Amino acid sequence: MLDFRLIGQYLPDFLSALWMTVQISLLSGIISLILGTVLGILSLLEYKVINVPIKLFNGFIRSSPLLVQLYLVHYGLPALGILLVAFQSAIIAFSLNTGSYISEIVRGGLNSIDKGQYEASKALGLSWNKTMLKVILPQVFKRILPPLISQFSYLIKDTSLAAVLAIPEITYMARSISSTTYKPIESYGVPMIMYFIIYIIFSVASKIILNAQKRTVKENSGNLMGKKRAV
Amino acid sequence: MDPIVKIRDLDKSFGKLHVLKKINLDVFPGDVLVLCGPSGAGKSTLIRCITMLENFQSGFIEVFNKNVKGSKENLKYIRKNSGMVFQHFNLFPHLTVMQNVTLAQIHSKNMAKQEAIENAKMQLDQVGLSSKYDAYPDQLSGGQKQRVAIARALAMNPKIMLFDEPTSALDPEMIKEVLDVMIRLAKEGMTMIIVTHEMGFAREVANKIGFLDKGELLELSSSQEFFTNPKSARTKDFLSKIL
Amino acid sequence: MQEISFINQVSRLALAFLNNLAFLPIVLAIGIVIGILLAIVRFHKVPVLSQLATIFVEVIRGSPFLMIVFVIYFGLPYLGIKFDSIQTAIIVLSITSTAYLSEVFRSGLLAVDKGQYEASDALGLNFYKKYTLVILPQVMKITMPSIVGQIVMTIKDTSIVSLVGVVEIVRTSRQIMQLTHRPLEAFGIVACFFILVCYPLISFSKRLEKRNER
Repeated sequence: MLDFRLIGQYLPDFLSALWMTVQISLLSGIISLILGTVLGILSLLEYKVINVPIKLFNGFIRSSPLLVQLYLVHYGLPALGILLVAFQSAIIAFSLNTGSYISEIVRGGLNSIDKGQYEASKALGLSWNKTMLKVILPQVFKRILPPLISQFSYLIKDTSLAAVLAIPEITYMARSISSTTYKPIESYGVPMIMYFIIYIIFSVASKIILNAQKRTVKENSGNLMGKKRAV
Repeated sequence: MDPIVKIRDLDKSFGKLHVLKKINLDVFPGDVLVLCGPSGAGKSTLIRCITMLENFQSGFIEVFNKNVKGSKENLKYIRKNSGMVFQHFNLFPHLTVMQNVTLAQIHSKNMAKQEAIENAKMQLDQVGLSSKYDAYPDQLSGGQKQRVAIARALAMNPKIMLFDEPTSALDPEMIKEVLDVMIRLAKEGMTMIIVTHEMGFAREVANKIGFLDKGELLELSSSQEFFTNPKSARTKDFLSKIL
Repeated sequence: MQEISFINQVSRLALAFLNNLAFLPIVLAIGIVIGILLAIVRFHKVPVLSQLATIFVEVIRGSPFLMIVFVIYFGLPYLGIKFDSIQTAIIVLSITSTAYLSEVFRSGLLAVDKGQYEASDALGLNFYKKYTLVILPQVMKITMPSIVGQIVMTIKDTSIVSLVGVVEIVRTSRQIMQLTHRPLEAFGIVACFFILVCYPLISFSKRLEKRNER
């Protein structure tokens, strides 16, 4: 059966790999969230000067493989004089990639807000900043929470590509331990389980949030009946 | 004469919800049976059990002298020889009106394509839709959709037609065109079971009326008896509210 | 450092890209056929089979692509099963596209109005006819944007098989880069090839989505 002694022996390595994955994911996640939100809000302004570069950026990110983007950052930026270590390249590449997807999610969320919200805020004399901060963005984030969680789940899987730059995260460690111990089931099994548990946690979290949202919509639907809907 | 539909001690629950309680019912050839009653009484569930669109826990149902739970062949035969019209039409959105009406003829009854088309044309003409052969469902009004649905069911040459609240999803001005089709069918002698709230229609066309409330068949009598001399208190209450 | 002209690079990389695209027909064919079957099995809750199908789909969806590649290419040999790089590529690409596509199809089956199933049953259509004539055409229409999206994902995933030695565009570009020391050029061209194919597909998918919303 499974060589549990071996697993125990290498547990520190597995855990440090897990920690590396978590670090990369958290760091990239936070940066991409900020980047995505900023880009998403900017694209709402509908200035061609801002929108065209953002559209080009998003088109580029979505149409090319993450691996190529990683190589462009890690090998390409040094050619422009920016020296990077592997960890930095990974963070930059993942942040840009996920940031682009998040900007689309945020933009979708912003577009889904009824125009009446802006009108009411204006009528109440709220500045644009206050409107966004106190009225619009809170609603947007509630709505986009499920797709954001899915996106973060994808990010964690994406971090496995960091192995390509010899960063000791889960996937790299799996390969490394497997070639040392000649025991693929344990060496790949534990990492697979780790990824799977993370995946399940995110799936369940997403479902719980979706159900909670459905319940509040049902409770509120009486109030929504009279509101005017933007065409 | 044997009844076309025989229902004995039919009992059905959705989980804890007991929706049909010991229903006993016979429908004879030529009968036009209207099932009425308050919402949630179980009328739709009852009619859907007849062709096993819903399963039931106990009791039995025989259609054309075949047990609906007897065998797959039984059920196939029953479904091919009965027509069902749904509240929400259930037309096939990716097919034209003509294709909707010919599909089952060709693929369920194995008719030749040309024959199916001829038959479809006849059915569509009879419901007043000869100009719509090549239209798609989303180009039609609700009343037109339901008439196509009726033509689709009639094209199978059924011995009995089942209607599950056929006009409940229609705007008021379109209800008449569908009821007119159903009245014509009844006059031509088709055996029909109709779940409906249209009591005026029921009085005109039904020969038998069944009243369901909270899963029980409280009243089953001739149309005349039902309106002039209802037996149960709840029936009287229901009639007083809607007439 | 070796000089390789831009045109030379482009032509080498173009040819290598054909290798990436060559995977698509078989991988997508398998993915669609088996994906639909798995979706139907899960939709009908067939005992045993649907649980197995669900386990397969969820395990694959929960695992990074690279990890699966490593398991098959580096892990299996220790158990006596050796696949070369191209076989690994085909296997992994097929498995992943099957798993993701079956989820797409399953949500498509759930999205088709229940009344369509009932009307088909009421008209006496058998299982096969019901699905091929009524249900699946509607599923295809509903899911086409997502299917195209998955095709794009598969195209991008072909880049990862470069890491186990498949001679395709990314691997070739690394070799070129190591000779010319001009990474931006080499990888830039690679990105352009992918964009050339994927961007139109993504736009197409968006247009389909808009049309479905009507």
